[in-house]
Amino acid sequence: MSGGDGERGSGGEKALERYLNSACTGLYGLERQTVRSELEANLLERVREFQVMGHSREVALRKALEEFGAPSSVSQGMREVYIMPKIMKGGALAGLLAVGTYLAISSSVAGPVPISMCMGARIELAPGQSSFDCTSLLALLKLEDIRADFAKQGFTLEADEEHFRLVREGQALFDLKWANPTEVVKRVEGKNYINLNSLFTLDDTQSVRVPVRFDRLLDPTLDLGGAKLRPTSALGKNQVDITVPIAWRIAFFLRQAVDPKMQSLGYGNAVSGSNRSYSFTPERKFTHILEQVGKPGKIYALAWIRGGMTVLSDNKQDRVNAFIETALATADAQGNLKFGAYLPKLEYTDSLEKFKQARGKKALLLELTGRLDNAAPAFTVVKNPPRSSQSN
Amino acid sequence: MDPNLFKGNLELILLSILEEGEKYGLEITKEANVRTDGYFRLNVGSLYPTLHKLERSGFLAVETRPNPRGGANLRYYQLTDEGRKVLEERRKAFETFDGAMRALWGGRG
Repeated sequence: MSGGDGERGSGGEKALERYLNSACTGLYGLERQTVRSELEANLLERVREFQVMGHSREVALRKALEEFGAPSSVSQGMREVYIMPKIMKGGALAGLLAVGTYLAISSSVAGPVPISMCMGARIELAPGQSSFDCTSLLALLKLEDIRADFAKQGFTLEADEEHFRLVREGQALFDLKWANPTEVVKRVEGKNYINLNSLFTLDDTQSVRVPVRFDRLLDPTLDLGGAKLRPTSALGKNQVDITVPIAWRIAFFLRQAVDPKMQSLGYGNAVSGSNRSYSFTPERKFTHILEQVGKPGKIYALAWIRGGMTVLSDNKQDRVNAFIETALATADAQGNLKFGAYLPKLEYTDSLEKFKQARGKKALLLELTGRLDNAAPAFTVVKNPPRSSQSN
Repeated sequence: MDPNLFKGNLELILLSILEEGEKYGLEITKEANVRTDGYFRLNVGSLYPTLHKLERSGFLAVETRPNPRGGANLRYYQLTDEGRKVLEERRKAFETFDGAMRALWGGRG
């Protein structure tokens, strides 16, 4: 935060921090920075006015926050401004999903996966385990793994509970001191994990968001761009082993506009001025058993819930701002699905309690129309199929 | 105040407030409040997203300047030429609509 008043540790300043974080939920990169900075500037301006009226700083801050109103309404409104146009621009998934049949993937997991990343890169399946679930609210990466991945790319990663520094050829490209270390580095069973939800965002250029409602989490219905998709309860008997090569990308937002003194992204001070992202595509493989064989040549999307940020709603109820992740693949001649290209990330917000109940329940496998370009880590749609409100 | 009526005309309200000159968010809120005797009470959830939408539409231009009192930079909004044109169009449309409604109610004396 850039208030520069040295009171960041106080309760009032923490409330301000929470307010700004909540108001920027779902925004990333420069857009997040812009919105956050603007809100902060106007809030602090109002705080000063209350102080001039004779209120203490703490009271002034409280009154300003009350007067400004619910931060969730800002984030919701801003997502409509910044996210919806991207849908129209890249609106591939909505088109793809418009004509779909879908199959439920069993989630008959014997027990929770202790440390799982629902993205897939760090899903750790126990021997004999037949499926994966989304058991964690966190997307955690082992620090040692991420360090190794950086090393392959010629970077040295120095990270612990205090800071995160990325070095290349002796030069620090990225030097962060966590604004809120406990949110970023998680120590589990003696090992450090990086919480991706707090640290990274997926590359926005590959994120496609469509109007989505994920109703009835225990019996999910996806409403994607007007197409309502429900998983069937019928499960095929032929179980097929499917190897899923996972490619993941991480984008750092290092933009020239980042004020070195600002910590508005919540990550700390970004000292680099370059505006580019670094991508890493290590392949991970895990065996996953689906209960259906894909039809050769058909395109499938895998959709599942991934945990995200927990936010406090207006009525003080914990809510979770989660994502529905999808991976896309074309079934090969044998019907195998190799989900190498992934990404559309769909935002979903509901009560934390419902989210907890829903975790690990079901993922969806959606059969799509269109075409995947497997040569690139993204996909293209050659032809948008006519929109259908329901296909079953 | 009917929230739907307010929401439906929020862009017109903001464009009208900015017609007189550039302002940042908090100033716009106060201006709306003062000029309507408290009838228009803008909250952040409606104000800032709408400002950003108008900016992206090309109706508003933004200049970011340091706050003379310190802290984060302030974003000053001002009408573009296109914004002025849109304001005129919407104002006329509103007046026409308002006139038509009054004509409807004319007999109720």
